[in-house]
Amino acid sequence: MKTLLKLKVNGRIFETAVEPQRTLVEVLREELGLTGTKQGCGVGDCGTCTVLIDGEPMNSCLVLALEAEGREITTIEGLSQGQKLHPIQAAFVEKGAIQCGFCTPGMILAAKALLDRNPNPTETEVREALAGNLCRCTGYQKIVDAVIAAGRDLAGEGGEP
Amino acid sequence: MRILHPFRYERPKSLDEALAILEKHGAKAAPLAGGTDLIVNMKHRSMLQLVPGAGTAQAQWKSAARVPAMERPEVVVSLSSLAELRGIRKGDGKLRVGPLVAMAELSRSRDLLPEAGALSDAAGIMGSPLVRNRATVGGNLMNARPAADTAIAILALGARLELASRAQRRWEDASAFFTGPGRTVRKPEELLVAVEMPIGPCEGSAYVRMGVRRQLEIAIVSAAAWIRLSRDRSTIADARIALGAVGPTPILAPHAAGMLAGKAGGPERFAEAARTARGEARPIDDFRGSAAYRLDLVEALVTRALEKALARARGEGAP
Repeated sequence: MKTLLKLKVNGRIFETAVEPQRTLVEVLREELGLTGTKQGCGVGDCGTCTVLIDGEPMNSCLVLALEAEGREITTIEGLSQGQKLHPIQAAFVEKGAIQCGFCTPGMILAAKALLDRNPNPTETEVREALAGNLCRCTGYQKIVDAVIAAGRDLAGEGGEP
Repeated sequence: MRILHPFRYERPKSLDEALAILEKHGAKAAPLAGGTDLIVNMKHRSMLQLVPGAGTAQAQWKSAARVPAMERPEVVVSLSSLAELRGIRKGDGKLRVGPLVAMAELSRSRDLLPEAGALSDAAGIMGSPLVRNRATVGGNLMNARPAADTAIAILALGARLELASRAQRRWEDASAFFTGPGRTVRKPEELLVAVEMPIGPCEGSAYVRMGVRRQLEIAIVSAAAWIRLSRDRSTIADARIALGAVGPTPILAPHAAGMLAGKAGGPERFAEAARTARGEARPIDDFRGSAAYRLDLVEALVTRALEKALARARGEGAP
């Protein structure tokens, strides 16, 4: 039986009707058309479905959509401002941290949660924070470089009006 | 793509309401906390049937240790609105942890150190950072895997667990709580509502784990140690040692721990206790490691856990 669900995603309220067994990633992609969030393993191992729930990165394949009611959800679509990339997105492009791109939305959101808390992380802190996000292309180094560069960029911008 | 079977979803607003739902549906209902185990188990196909050699206790344990039981509840009972199951409280010689406390919150809490450092260690390495933001300590305990990180920790901490049903509330010692792989003394109409550990001065504890990776790993072997020092901190007044992934449940090593009482801690004493713990472990061969390797690991990890617990009890070094 479908239940009415109000989801707050990237600051916008979406109303939809979902069956209880639908996971958050399914509803984001299939009901709301937000296909930036990828579904990979479906069991919490790969991290490509990472979204922020109240600012914390979580596997959206393991969250029932109904459980996300009343929470603030941020997906990759919520980061850029129009055509202007978020500094983390820009750094990923700049540093060559994207190859096939399938892990990228999850990586960027996990990185955002880290940088929101700690804009100046060490390489170890970045690797720890991204430990739930698998990348099979890059070997991770360029991703780590991009996150550190983005942190510096964000910390610099913080001083401006 | 793995999709979930249809089920009814209930999100009770109070504990009473939750217990009424559990009473009504019994074993057909599954309480949902963080969901990082439940949802995974609900997505699993019937792989248990593929494991050969069912029948003997050993084979059953092997298959259950390998593949989490497939779950197909008719009713999923979301605990997410039950504020009374959240929070960490420290006082009156007790540390009380709500079952809905997320691993990430637990690992960051300063209330746990140094006495309950083992629980802090366990919560900080279970799963991945993404999983730890969602997974709860109650979920990890109720999933009751022989390698469940926080289960090993609370066993060493001498915890007791409170189970509530509509009819009654009861306390159960952690040492009697786990009855088999994935099994506990919880009845279908009951819910875990609190985990409580006695804490006091001159205490320290630690949890260490060996796996092939540091994240997203299930222990090959893990060990937790808790030590209470005498008032002058010169000798060990009391100790507990718990082991993970070397038996059908998390287990205590009471003989190893008993040898330490009244003695000064130190490398030789700890090596002796670790050898005794080796004799208390009952590991099996499986794809994570052979029984022989696991026995060697028990010795190494018990020594490390005792050293770390002792340092914490003495108030030494990094937390």
